[in-house]
Formats: sequence, structure tokens, C-alpha cells
Amino acid sequence: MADEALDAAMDRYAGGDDRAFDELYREAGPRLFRFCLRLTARRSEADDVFQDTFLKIHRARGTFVQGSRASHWMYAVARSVYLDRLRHKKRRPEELSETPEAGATFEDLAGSFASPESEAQAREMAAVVQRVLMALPESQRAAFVLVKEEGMSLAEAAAVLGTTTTAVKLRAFRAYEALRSALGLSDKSDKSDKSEKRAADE
Amino acid sequence: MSSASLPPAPPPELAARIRAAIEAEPTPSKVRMPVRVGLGAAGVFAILLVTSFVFRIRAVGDDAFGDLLVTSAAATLLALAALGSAMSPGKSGLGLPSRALLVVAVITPLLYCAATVAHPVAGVGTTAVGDGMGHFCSKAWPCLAIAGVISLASCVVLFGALRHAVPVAPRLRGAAVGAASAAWAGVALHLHCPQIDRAHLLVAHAMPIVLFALLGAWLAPRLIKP
Repeated sequence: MADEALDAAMDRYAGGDDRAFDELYREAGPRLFRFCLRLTARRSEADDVFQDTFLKIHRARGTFVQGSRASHWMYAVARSVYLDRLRHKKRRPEELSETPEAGATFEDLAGSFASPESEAQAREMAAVVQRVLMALPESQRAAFVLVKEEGMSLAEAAAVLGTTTTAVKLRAFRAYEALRSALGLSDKSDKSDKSEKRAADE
Repeated sequence: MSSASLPPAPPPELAARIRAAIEAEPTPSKVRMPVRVGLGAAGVFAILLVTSFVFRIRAVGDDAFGDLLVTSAAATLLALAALGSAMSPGKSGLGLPSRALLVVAVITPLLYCAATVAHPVAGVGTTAVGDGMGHFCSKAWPCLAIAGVISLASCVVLFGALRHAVPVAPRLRGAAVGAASAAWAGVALHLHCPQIDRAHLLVAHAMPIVLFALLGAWLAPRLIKP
């Protein structure tokens, strides 16, 4: 339903109806923002990529093909913006230097929870997920986010990433494996921390 | 694990910044993609028509006229197919799948090469290329110049039509656009040049398609990003 509203808003916006922007932003904003948070290493960079993405959507709106999925087109624009920044960073590392803001991005991805304990657990898990995702190559990270988090089919993700379904499957699988192994390690370390605490209490 | 149920809202100050940035932007083109692609294709046909008048269609004997017609039609079909595939928005609106673009970029020069070498059509002005590099070059450079002019003009028109389009697989898209542009030059050369020497056909007629596919792959990421 949300996709249909977004597609309709994008069709109107691409046709030159500037008033459709508010609806477009309302429908696409949260999803695109989450995607940007997942792609980038820090919150301020996610903000910049998100802003640039909407600016490029505005500039390129004439190239949107009526009847196609607006969300897929927008993800492709966001990824292109991010890849451009990566290239720029490689050429001029001093301008966009990385300063890790620990906890800045994953906190945005955690929601509200019933108890402080479950919130703490969720934050910890989100931190591990974010850390592992950021350690992955961009191609694996994007494939994982689109398939596992945004719920796209392999074919849809392949179209957005400009690659084959086999490549997307492989990349998402590698990212998934990396996450599984990282979460397994963190479970073990968590257990050993608790047993150490227990031993200290006794 | 999935955070799909918890989409974080972008901060309100970001929305205000985006609105201000968009208002400061000049009004973007509202010409829709199918119209742009149609205009691009029309531009390429116009280039081919104009250059056919400028460079003249070669004369062939009555016995070879049918051959020239069939081979020209085949070259035109190949160029049309390459053009359609390179510019197609595909089902998703993001262009054809990457594998299809790769096939277009690779198959177009190969098919043209195979067809032109396997079935050359002798014209009235056909002369022996002769021995020596100097003689070979004197015959090759006019064809290379024609190929360069037509391919470059077609590339400009087609990349212009794709300007600001989403760069999904930009290198492959660029390679396909470059190959399609040079395939049209191949049609013009086939109509114009009476030479049937295989080395000439490979170097002066088929090689530009490969070169322009490579040039397109290099240019596209710089030209068609949104």
C-alpha cells in the first residue's frame, strides 16, 4: 500500500507536479534514511547522503519511468550518491575524513522497548550488526540491506545494484555469514563476561 | 535482526534543509524518459541520413545491389537492436539487466566483424589495398574519420538523452551505448566504402565499434549520473 502511494506520488512529481514532493518525502523519507544509515559509517554522513539523494531525485525526476517502482529507483539514486562520495573520499581523503561516531548510527535504528534490559540488548545487537556491516565491502553491505532488511527479491536487488541475481545472492549470503559469525562470537563473549561477573559476586 | 519494522524518521531540520536546497535549484527538465530516448534515437537517424548525403553511398553493379541491400539491412538491424537495448528502461525503469548490457557490448562488435569479414560486398570503386603500411593507412584513415565523426556525434546525442538518468551499471550501459553508436557508423561505412580487403574491414570498419564500446564504458560513469 505504501509502495503504491509512493509510486503515485513519484509519477506526479516526475510529471512536474511540485506539490507531490511533500507526499513523496513522507512516504520515502524514513526508508531512504534507514538505507543511508546502513550504507554510511556515521550519522552526519548519512544526513549528507540523504540530503543529496533527494536533491538528485529532484534533478533526475524526468528520467523516472512511469509505472516502475519508485522505491527501487530511489535506492539506486541513494547508492549512486554514496558511491560518488566514496570515490571523492579516495581522491581527496582530507575533505571527508572518517571520524567514527560510535553508537551514532545504530541508535537511530533501535526503537523503543518494554524494558531497559531489552533495549540495552537490542542496542548491543544493533551495534554488532552495524560494526560488522561497516567492515564488509560496500557491495556486500548493499546487497544484504536490500535483500534482508528492505525485503527485496534477488531480481529486484540485482536491478537496483546493476548486477546479476547470482552475484546478489552470493554477496548477501557472505554478509549474512559474517553477521552470524560475529553474533556468535559476541554471544560467547557475553557469556564469558557474565560468568566472570558471577564468579566475582560469589 | 531485521529493523524493517522500525524505520527511523529523518530529523525535521534535515527536511527543512532539503526543501531549501530544492527551492534553490533551477527547475529540472520535465521531459519524460521515453520522449528523451525517442529524441536520442531520432538524433542518431538524422546523423546517419546527413552523413550518408555527405559521404555518398557507393555505387555497386546490378549483380551486387541485392547483396548490398541485404547486408545493409542486416547491419541496420544489428545497430537498431544495440540502440534499443542500450537505451531501454527495462521492466524496472533502471535499464536492462547488467548481463544483457554486457551481451550487447560484446556481441555487437563481434557480429559486425563476422558479418563484414564473411560477406564483403564489392563496389564499383573497389581497389586493391596493396602492400605496405603507407598504402594501407591511406585507405583506412577516411573510414576511421567517418566512423569517428558518426560514432562521436551519436554518442553525444545518446548520452545527452541519458543525462541525469540513474547510473545502474553505468560502465556496462556506457559500453552498450558506445557499441550502438559505432554500429550506426558501421552501417554508414558499409554503405559508403567499396573496399573488401579483410584487414581494412577489421581495422577501419570493425575496430571503431570496439574502441567506442571502451570509450562509452569510460565516459558513462562521468556523464549519466543523476
